[in-house]
Amino acid sequence: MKTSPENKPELIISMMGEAAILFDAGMELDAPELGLQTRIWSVSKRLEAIKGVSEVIVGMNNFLVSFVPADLPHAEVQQKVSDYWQQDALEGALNVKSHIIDVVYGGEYLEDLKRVAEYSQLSIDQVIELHSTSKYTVFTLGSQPGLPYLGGLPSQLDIPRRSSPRARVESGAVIIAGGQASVLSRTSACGWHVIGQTDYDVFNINNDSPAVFAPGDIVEFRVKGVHL
Amino acid sequence: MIEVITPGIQTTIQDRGRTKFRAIGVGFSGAMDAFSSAIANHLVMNDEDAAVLEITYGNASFRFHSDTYIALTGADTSATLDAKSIPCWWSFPVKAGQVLRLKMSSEGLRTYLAVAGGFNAPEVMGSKSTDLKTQIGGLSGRPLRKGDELSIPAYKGPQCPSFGLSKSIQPMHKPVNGECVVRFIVGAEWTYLTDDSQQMVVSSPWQVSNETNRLGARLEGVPLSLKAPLELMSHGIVPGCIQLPPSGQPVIQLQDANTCGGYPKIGVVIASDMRLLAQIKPGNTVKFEMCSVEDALEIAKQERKKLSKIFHNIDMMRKTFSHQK
Repeated sequence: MKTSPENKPELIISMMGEAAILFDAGMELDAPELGLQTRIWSVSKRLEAIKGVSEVIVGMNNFLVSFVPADLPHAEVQQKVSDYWQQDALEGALNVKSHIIDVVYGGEYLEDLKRVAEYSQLSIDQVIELHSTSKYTVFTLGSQPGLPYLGGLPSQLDIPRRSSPRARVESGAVIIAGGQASVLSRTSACGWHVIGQTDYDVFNINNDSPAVFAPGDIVEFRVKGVHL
Repeated sequence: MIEVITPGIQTTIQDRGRTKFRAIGVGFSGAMDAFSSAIANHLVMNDEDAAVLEITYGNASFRFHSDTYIALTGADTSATLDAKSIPCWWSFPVKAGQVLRLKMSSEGLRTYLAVAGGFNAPEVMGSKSTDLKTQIGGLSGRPLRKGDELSIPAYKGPQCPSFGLSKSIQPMHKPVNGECVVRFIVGAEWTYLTDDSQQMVVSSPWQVSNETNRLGARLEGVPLSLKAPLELMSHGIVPGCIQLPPSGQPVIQLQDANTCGGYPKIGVVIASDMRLLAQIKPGNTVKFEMCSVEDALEIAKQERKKLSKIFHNIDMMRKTFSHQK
């Protein structure tokens, strides 16, 4: 199923406890789609303006609405979402910025880069070329402070997550898995494949807006070096 | 100022946590047992959301370098102030030079220490709470260490009596015989569980594993299974979310929950029962009971009433004891 901003697939609705509802638009999709995500950004902007909505957490082709039940009963949240879902996407809902991230490919986790090449039947050079010549869109942030979920990874590089996560991967790791790309913001366990390293700081508490990326931003990776 | 002599295995500064930043990947943090921390704060006449110390497993000691007024709530640690034994759910004046010692908690896991005026810490993204993952808030975003000096407001206050909650009005906060029953609302993938597994969720005891912390509680039992494998895209989750990783052993997300996840969701523990999960220890068991959204909202109202009643009791006692002086 392909969608565009005009398409309005049915939302699958489930309660996430008594004060949040998950709306999922992408249950039928193999990979997250930008058209659908654009609609979700618009709905999310409209929802955030409602009294009683405490936060909207946008996921990959889905969104979680947290609300204060005493101010806004859950039936009303569902009604609002259903109304907004039918409306046109907001023009200029996002203030889009561009980012270029310098990457040293390979290095400590060279085995992952080899594994990706093997899996996608490409040479290491081709993997690097594909990764560093594509344009990515920030679909959302989450899991770690400022960590971007990037759509736009070439389909040749679509590789499942590692069967068992590494217990520790350093922040700045440039990672791919499940048709998505990202950069680790904090040293942590990680089940994605590490294809390189950057010193690009994706979250800095001293900045006015600590998260460097925002949904809708365009990201490109540039080859700074290759350590094989 | 309060000097940390022994920090215990994990002591952090916490208030009611950070809201509004989950969309950029920064979670709530905040006191795990907000009911107990609210009572500790009320005992020393603070706003219920003021910053307190959350002490895990007890085994901590502190030297006061200025006069203040403190309260201890949550897990009982047979605390002493110098040589004098002081009860949990109690408030008392402290003089500069005195040493507060907490022994290991026998039942329950987390103890709250409030000081008059609340612990001083910079507000980071709207909260003083320590976020261990993001490494912000509290004291440099980390647990306390030996030798740390904690800033507290100068105590100007009225001379305060030593008093506290009698056994009969202390809230139920710890597992009974090592078992705690929590209620949950079914989640998106509940119907993807096999019939047997659905039955197992509500009928078997789940043992709390050693890998349990502020992020989440891992549970051990007969592995649960889905009718068919399920791939989900990343989506927002909340503390209390009961996820089912491929191992079939559920994980309950707690106060430091990730903001996003991808595992199937069995359900979400109701907000009112999160304080029970704050007090479970590895080896304890958790039992799940299904709950409707309407019942959860009603239970939340009752909890609020219960807390207001305790606050009222504290106010009455303070009046009585102040007049007796």
